[in-house]
Amino acid sequence: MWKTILRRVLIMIPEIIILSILIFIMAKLMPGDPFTGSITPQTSASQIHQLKVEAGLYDPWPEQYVRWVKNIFHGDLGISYQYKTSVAGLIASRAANTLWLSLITVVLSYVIAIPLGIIAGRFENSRADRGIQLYNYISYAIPPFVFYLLGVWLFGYTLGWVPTSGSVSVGVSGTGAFILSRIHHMILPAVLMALLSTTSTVQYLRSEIIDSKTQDYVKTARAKGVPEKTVFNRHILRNSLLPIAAFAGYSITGLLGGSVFVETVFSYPGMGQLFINSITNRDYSVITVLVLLFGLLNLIGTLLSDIILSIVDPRVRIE
Amino acid sequence: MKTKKVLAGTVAVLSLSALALTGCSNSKSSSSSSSSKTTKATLPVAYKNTATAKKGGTLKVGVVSDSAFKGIFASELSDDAIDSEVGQFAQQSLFKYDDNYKFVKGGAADISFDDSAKTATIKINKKVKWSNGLPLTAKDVEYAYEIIANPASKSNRYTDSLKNIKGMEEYHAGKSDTISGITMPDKYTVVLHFKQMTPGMQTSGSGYIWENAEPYEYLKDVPFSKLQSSDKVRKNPVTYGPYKFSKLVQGESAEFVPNTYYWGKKPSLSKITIETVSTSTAGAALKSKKYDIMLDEPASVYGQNKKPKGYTMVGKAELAYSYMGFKVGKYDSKTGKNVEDKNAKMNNKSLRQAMAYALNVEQVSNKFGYGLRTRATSLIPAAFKEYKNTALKGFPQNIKKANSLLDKAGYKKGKDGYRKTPSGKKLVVHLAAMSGSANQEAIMKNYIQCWKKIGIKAQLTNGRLLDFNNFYDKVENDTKDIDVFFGAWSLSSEPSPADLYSEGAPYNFTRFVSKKNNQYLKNIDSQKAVTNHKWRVKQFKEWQAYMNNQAYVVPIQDYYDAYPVKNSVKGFTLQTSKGYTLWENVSLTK
Repeated sequence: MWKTILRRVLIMIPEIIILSILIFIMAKLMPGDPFTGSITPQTSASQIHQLKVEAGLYDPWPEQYVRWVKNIFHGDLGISYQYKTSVAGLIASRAANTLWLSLITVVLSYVIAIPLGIIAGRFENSRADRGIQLYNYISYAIPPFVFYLLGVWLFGYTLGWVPTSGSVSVGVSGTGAFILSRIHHMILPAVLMALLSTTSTVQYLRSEIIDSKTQDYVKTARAKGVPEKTVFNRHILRNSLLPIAAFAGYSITGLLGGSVFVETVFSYPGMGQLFINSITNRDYSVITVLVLLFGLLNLIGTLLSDIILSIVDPRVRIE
Repeated sequence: MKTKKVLAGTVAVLSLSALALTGCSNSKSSSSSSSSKTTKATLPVAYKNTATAKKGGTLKVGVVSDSAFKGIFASELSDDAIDSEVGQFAQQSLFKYDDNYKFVKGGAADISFDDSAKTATIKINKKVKWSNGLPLTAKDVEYAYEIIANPASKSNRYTDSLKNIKGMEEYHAGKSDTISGITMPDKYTVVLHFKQMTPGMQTSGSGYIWENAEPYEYLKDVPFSKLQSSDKVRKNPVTYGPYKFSKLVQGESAEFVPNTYYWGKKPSLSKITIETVSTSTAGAALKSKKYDIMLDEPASVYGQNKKPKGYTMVGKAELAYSYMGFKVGKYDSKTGKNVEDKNAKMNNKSLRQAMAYALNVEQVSNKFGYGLRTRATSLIPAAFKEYKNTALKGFPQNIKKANSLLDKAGYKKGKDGYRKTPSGKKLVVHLAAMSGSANQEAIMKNYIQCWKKIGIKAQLTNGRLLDFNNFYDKVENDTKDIDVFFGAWSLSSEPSPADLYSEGAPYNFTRFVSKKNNQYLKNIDSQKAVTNHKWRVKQFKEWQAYMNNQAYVVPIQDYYDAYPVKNSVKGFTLQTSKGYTLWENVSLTK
């Protein structure tokens, strides 16, 4: 298995190189550049031109690409044109925000989805099952943007239970208060996101459990006189969790992706917002690093999913 | 101070674009449909609260923005509008100004001009201290110029206007270590030596004089190249305004407390907080009365709730306008000049005028402007009361006139109902417009319908709206697929149009050049105008009339800003001359 993992990691290297070239060319193909937004009667075109020359934006793209790669190997991801600060620092601060929010969301989403899926599957066609199915359809069908707006309007503005924007209150002092304020700010977006992201988990789990119930090995276990509780927990449930485990790798690496909708509605400075803003402002240095990071995470996610699957399912062995 | 970025955020705000415009799409409507008068919002410029003020209290300010603010609190390095909104409680400019933005005495420093010696003398008020207790000195004033002009700091605020200070270009090129045209006779006096005097100099925002200072003693250890990313500028800025930064969450919010060293009136609030609010929740925020003052309220939010409960709306004309430009040439970057092509498709005055008269700008403003947008009548917005030529009517919709203009100019209609060029060729006009606001597409389709009525076939460049970058990329580079474009400018408080319309201006996007225009612009910024203000105003007015007549650039809309102010706020005003000391005078009532 280690050999396979190593081989997979090695294959990633050319994949990343190709990805980086593609990203670089495509970023440069976008019309406009980071300085387009600085056109005002208060700036001189000659100064903008000079800044562009200094940034090397007039050089042919292979030259720019080589320079960029060289800098990366020197640990320099560049300076954001838009925020005028180091890309590494900028992404790190946004990534921390997004990571915590996503982590809470993912945990909450499993905490909600797994029991629901189990109940729905075990008591198929019961009233509870039908209720859960209804919830599933609604949460799947509702447009996230509308749902978040409703949430912030009700709990944030009308009831005033939670803050409506940002990641932390400006006035807090002390580590404890800081952490509490962070959680206070994250709880509503996290719950709302979690509620909308349970659909596939619930649905997979439910149908897997229903399928497993009629499998031969379950019948055998029952025939042997194994207690119903053990049959369910050891034979049915374990097998039904497999597809969910298969997605776990993506869930882990997906933590950094961020959500544009939630971040926009809650003015929460995370990766999604940063990504979109960098694209609209042609902040090349940030765009390229972000896409590369997302690509890398995806590759690692695939690998992780395979590894997790091989651990939980002895029938699967990556060779 | 940016070109008007009309981006409504990346996530389209739930739009109401289903509203159809009837003005031009309905062929039955009479040709003189401009009868509907624009219902302009008439908001007071100040909120006069008569209740007694209390001492202390926290003022909560919300600033509507869909992206995090950049957080560079040195105006030499920042061009972000939200940064300056956030920093305004702590950052104060050097000179006080009157309602016409003219410098007056009584600010942190006073400025006086000597036209014969070609100098400006800045005398710093000795009472002024930075929030770290150190006095504001001449070095701090000079240092701000160095930050802008030093190439290492990569400031985009270095402009041609600043090159008018002697020695500036040499310093920028690295040929000298100091700017020879800035001298400091004593610790509190700075003298600027100019190559020539210009009439705009005595006005705030002209660009000839930098109106801010930076704390040299505090920042001197940071190299110019590291300034814009340094914590001293981003996290712990030192300022000399009535309040000072006390806490800052990067990109989200900031907290201010009174600056105990402030030179002016002691501020009465004990705290000010400001945070960003997303466009999509701004309306809900108003209803829940979350903020005492809301900045940058989008017109659509104002339109939905014109009189929010518990608030008083105040308003002011913005220093901005939108326009329609006709491409008639190219910018030659080698000679640095605009070159007009006399044979360009749009180089026909009657055609341009007709296209301008065909538009139902008034109707569009009524439908989508909520009283905050009005049809503009000249290229100087109403905010410049002194310079605005109020005799001009602009281009009110007049289909009859438009048709007759085209008939006379020889644009004959073909069998398909569309007009051909005087030489008999097919005429298709390519229209470029920016995406962003939810209604933009409907508005542009409506304008295309308007032109159809006078037999002009128009279509969108690329078949759709262009995003901000794409739009300006094409407009700047004079690509062939643009004949007419819709843009907007936000102006500084000195209205000289030279930067936007002169022969050498790269931002003269239509690329028109004429002797008469050159003469007007020269006159406006001439030596004679320095001493003869009335004559300068006359030049301004004549220039506006000339520009309307030529119709290379057609004024479309004037902008008006609305600010919701909670009824418990006292002392808030948008009056220009009071802006300088606004925050020391704002308090909360019991």
